[in-house]
Amino acid sequence: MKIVKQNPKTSLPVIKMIYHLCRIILGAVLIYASIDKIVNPEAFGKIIYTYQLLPGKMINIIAIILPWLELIVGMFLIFQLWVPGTVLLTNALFMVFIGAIISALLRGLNIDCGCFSTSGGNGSMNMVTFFRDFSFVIMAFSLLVFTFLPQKIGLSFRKEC
Amino acid sequence: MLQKLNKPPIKAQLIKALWQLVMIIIFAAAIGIGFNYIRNKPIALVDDWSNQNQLLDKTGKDITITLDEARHHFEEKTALFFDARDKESFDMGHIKEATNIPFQDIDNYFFERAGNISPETLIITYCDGRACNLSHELALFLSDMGFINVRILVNGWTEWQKANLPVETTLSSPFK
Repeated sequence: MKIVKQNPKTSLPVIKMIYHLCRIILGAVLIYASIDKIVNPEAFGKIIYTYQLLPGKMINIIAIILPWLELIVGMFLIFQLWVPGTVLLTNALFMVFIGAIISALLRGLNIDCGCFSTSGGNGSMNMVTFFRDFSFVIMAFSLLVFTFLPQKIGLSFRKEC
Repeated sequence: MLQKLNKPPIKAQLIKALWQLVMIIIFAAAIGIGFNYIRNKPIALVDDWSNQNQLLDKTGKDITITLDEARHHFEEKTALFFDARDKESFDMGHIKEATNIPFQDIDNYFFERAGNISPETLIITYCDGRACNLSHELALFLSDMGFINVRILVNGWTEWQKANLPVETTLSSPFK
């Protein structure tokens, strides 16, 4: 029986590829999600309101700032700027998003996710919405591991900044 | 070994990350507020998003209807009930003889199901859950389309069921 020894170096390009793929996908998702909200902050405010999670006085300011935060984080991810802070913020954003979705699903709210569009033509959120966002959370978490714990997994490929 | 020497300890990395995180948030806040300030129709940084404020029409009039009033109109057949939820929710159960006009797909449903209704007709919109604003959006849309007697039954589907009022599923509804 032939024993195949796996050289750790051979897995490095694959992990690098996964890292960069996650980075670019999440960057693109955040940029895409931000555009309509930047154009229509009032409609985005209505969507935030329907979640019934924030005090009324905070809704407008969040509707104004959050889309720009998504856009900047998305661009920083793609261009690999301020990577540690950007990755931390990416994780925070997706944790907040999935938290809001879980909360709405548990409360049985019949509302539009508003994840990518403020027009309200996307149907009510459901488990598909949850699993889609959960996949983003996993990607964001993998970026966190690759960024902060590269020694533990024998990697050091992040662009320093 | 070399890697360990070059790499800052994780605590230092985290401090750096937190500093960057704060700077990015400040940067986003500055751009967001600045952009809002110069746009054609800026929105107020702080606004009244209380539940009650969301149930007013464009002239500031309260357009909600109580369950008792809605029940009265239902029994007297003096109002039409419009269910603003999606088709799946409507199919599972709705107020008897209600018409489904999913607000999220209003363009496809409005003219087919409400196009021939007189503008003076009393229309009661509803959806489900206190946070659901589909009924409010539908009511405002109907007002914009010229209907002058539109009301909202807040948390309509839940309240209607709690009161044991007549309901049906799509199988016995004219709109399938």
